[in-house]
Amino acid sequence: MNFHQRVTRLKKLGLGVSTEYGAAQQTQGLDVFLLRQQYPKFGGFLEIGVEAAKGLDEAAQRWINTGGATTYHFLDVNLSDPADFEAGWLEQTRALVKATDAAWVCGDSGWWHFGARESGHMLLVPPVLTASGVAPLADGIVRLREALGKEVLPENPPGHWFLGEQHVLDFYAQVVDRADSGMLLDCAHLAIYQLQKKLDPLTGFDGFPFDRVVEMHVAGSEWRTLGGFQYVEDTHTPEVLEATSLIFAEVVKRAPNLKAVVFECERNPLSACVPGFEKIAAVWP
Amino acid sequence: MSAGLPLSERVQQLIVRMCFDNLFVAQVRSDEVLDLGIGERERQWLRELPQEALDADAERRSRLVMALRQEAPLAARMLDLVKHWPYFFGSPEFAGVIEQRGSSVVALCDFVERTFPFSGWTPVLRVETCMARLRRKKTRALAPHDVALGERFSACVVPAQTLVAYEHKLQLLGASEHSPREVILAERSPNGEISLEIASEGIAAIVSAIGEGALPKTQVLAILAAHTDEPDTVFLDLLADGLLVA
Repeated sequence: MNFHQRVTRLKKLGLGVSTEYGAAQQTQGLDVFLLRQQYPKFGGFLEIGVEAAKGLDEAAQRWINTGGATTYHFLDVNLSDPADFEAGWLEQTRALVKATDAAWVCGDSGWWHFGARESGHMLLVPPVLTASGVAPLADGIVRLREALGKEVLPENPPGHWFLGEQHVLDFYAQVVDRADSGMLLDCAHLAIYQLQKKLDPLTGFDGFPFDRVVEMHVAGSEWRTLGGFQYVEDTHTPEVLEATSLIFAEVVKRAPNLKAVVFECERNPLSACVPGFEKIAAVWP
Repeated sequence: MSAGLPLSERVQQLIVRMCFDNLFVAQVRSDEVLDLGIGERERQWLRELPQEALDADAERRSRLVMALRQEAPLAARMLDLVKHWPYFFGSPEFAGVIEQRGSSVVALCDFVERTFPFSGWTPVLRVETCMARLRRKKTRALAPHDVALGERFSACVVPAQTLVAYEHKLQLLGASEHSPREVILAERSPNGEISLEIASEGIAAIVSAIGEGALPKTQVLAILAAHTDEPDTVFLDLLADGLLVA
């Protein structure tokens, strides 16, 4: 089956939230259960960020046990590196994906770590946006999809830099075409790219296959300055940049296969996040 | 550098090195001819990477150092003492971690052993290296008649008493202000030889209080009174032994 046939089998999850190991334990962390209880429409599913070595935390496990829908967001594989698909890691990941009963698997398609997969090696470096980077990434997506038996959606990562001669959307258009895959378009990460390159938020939209967008992320970001260098940090705060909102609203119009939207605000109290959810829901009812 | 690596992946490796090694950044930015395994176009991308962009994640190095301190406390302590971390990040061992899917812990142990071969720490560091390698040991295929150590075992040959020294050094690293203390009293004999002994509780209290300074006799007697019923007699004995002078 090709992507367009496979995507019809994916469930529409609606609007949801993300979490990472231990996020719920933070004092200011979002209470996903309270969200689901008070605003069921905003808590349609939980995107669980997982490092296989750490597994699932108590909150994720509880969400699963209470029958909540999930997606599995990996935090520990460099898709473009075949050597990173170690048998032990794959076995752990397969078991975790099964335990979460995730609708699909997704995650930033950059380098999550350097060297071997071990403590202290974690980072998130965006891919080099160049022709030679397309095949390794696309082949990794296919490799993981086949290994897990689940749809794997690559996500455009954030970055303090973006190297390469291609626009990020042109790059991912080639990646998802070669992998015959869907995509998780992170609107905040795309806004970071456009702002850093001093481009209009909608630059690169022409020719991008938006019918491959299955999931989107919306999140707050903040301008920062270091020395004379200005950059946008992916802070997951509730205040969303205008460029991010503009991208989101435009992609929604063009993405017929959109099944899920995550408002990434896991480290903030519910009251601070509600207005953000409401704005997203107004654009994507 | 791995053979057959896609160019984009090679550039990623170099970016990661630049994230940790400022000297390497300067080399890349210079006109120096370097065998980086990339073309001039890619090198130009790297040259144009703002230093501030590389520094925006200010915790990157410290996260790694923290992880290394946890697993290889002695090797990490050695680098702390000589303020040598930048040299480690610029070392071939660390470059090998990035380029060969290596372990920073093993690289750190190897780097310290190579860099400080005469430090006297070498045997105890070998214990740490042995443990770091064992944690990462994988099952390997053997020829039909070969025998090897199981994957749960590893060994290192070191001078006698190394294990005692290793455990002792670890204890010292873990010591805090609240850890139990002992006072070592050094005494020079008439022929110049120095002997060491652990001071008794009362003596320890006095010598710690006096240090290399001096105290009023009343205060010394008060300290002695907390440890003996006959402080005046003991005080005279200590004068006679030469431990105290007045």
